[in-house]
Amino acid sequence: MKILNLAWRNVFRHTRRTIITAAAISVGLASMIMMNTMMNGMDKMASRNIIDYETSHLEVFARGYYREEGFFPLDTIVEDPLSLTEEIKQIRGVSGVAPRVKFHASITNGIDELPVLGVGIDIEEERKVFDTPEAVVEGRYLEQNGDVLIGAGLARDMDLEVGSFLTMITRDRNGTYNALDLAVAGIINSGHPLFDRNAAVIAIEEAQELLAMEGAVTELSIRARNENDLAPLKRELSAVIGEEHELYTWKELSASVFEISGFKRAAQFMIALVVVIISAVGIVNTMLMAVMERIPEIGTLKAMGFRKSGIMKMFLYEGGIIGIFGSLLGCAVGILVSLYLVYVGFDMSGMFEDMDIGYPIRMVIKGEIDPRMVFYVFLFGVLVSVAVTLWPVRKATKLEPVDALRHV
Amino acid sequence: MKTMKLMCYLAIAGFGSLSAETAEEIIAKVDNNTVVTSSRYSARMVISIGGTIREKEFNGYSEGKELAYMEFTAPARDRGTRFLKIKDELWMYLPTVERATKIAGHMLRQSMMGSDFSYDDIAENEELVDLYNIELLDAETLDGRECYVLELTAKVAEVNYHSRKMWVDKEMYVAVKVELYAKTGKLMKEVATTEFRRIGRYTYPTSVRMVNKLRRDTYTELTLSDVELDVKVPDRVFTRAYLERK
Repeated sequence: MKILNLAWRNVFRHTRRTIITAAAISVGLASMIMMNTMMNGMDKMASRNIIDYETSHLEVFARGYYREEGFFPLDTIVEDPLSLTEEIKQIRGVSGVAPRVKFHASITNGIDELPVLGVGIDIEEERKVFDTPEAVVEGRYLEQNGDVLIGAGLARDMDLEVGSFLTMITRDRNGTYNALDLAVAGIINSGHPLFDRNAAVIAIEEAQELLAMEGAVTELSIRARNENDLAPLKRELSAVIGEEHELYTWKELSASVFEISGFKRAAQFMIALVVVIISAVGIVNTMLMAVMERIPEIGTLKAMGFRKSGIMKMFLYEGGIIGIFGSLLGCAVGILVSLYLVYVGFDMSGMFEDMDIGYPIRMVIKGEIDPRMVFYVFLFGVLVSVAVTLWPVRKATKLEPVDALRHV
Repeated sequence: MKTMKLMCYLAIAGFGSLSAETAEEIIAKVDNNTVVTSSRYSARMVISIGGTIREKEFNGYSEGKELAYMEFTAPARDRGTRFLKIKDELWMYLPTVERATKIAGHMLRQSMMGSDFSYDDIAENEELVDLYNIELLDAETLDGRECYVLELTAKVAEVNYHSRKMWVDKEMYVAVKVELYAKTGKLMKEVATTEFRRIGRYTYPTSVRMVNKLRRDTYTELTLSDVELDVKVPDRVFTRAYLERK
């Protein structure tokens, strides 16, 4: 206790040195927290977009349908969606089921022809499962056959606006060409590039007719009441859907997206590590200086009968105290900046105007603070400060009191 | 290439009969005479999009209905691009990629080398009588030629175009004009034979014009020269190894 007291006083005897060292730690920690907030925000946004527009929580396909993302075969389909939907709806954890037909198509305005992802949706059921109606930024949601919703990017690329006519060209299930005239009812801006860049959304009945699906669909999207724990619901559903169907959670379906995010996290960690190493070197430096300056002091302490371990403890306490201050400061700054990111966000639209970053996010990224991460960062800051004090102090305590006293 | 169905629309029969024929007989004559044992030719493709003209040249070989090979020779940008059709499979070789890729699924719908022909159009090889119910609608004079007007409606599911309307020359049994329709009844493409020549026992279409009706201001004209029919083409031409040769 006495030693802690001594350490505490020592820290405040050298205010400037303490402040500089603490600041060095805090800059590193603040940037770690900030980056983490940013990454969490991007992941959360990506997850929301995937759930709200692309897959919902769980999806049922015909067995063998799902081989890879971005591949939409029409030969492996859910032949009897109606009865299956009824059965799924019986399960308590399910809040909605919406059928979709996804297919490769292209659209032409008479001048250009661009490939699109055709999506046939059930106009009513879609509302219960997806946020598609809310993503319509111009015009209106689908109401009847002949209506099409297109992504904002597609509308821009093809000079289409609400009321414009376009022709959708595709091949049906048998490979026969089919073409359909459609009028743009609304323009979608969801934040999910899959929709905003190259989707054309039409009524499911029309898609089935166009593709000779005879009432079949490519998938059933299921919204869960409790999205945080899908495993029990998945088990329950698996029992219902039967051998001829397969079931995936949104996480399984978007594995590649989060694989990218895993890489990003690794990269972020490396950057943070570099920042921490730099600040750790700073801390070592100041601690080393502090110890060197005070070698005569150490000699005096030793001469007065202080044990090696006592001196060591004192310096470690000092390092710990500075570390706590620095970490507190760092966390405070990090949280402040993070709060800005959470409430205002970081606008990347200028950066990614015409770039597909392959990651389903809107261009204003909002952060998401992970309190656990803040705690770990704090702990990390304190531990590093203590750890880097060890080396210079061990060196100093090895000196004989006489040599130490004579040291300049 | 010739035996591919893109030529089929334009196919021919040598000697017309003046007696009343059934619709099936007319198309059968067109069909039967389309199929040459083998062929070798040079072709020139003029692609016009919105008034901008691009020209491409290629050499082609075919054997029966199932084998075909083409290799682009001009312009420099496309030189060395090759296509190989073996039965139902279509392979493309790009010199820059140095590997053959299979064109399948929804890719078949896309434009071949920027033309109004899709990959489907060049890969098609079944006989029309097997795919369509045929009805003789009318007789009409088209560009000074006496023509039968026939309507073909798919009787099997696996066809590229659900229905076709054909104008067949009464004397030559050549499809002078063909309209290709989607299942919704929308006119997608129009093919017209602008020139045909007597080659051996065939009356062979040597110039056709394909118009993509879903786009404005585009057409592709395909003109064949140095056409040799029923000549032996070495078997090695129709192999992946030949396609991927350096």
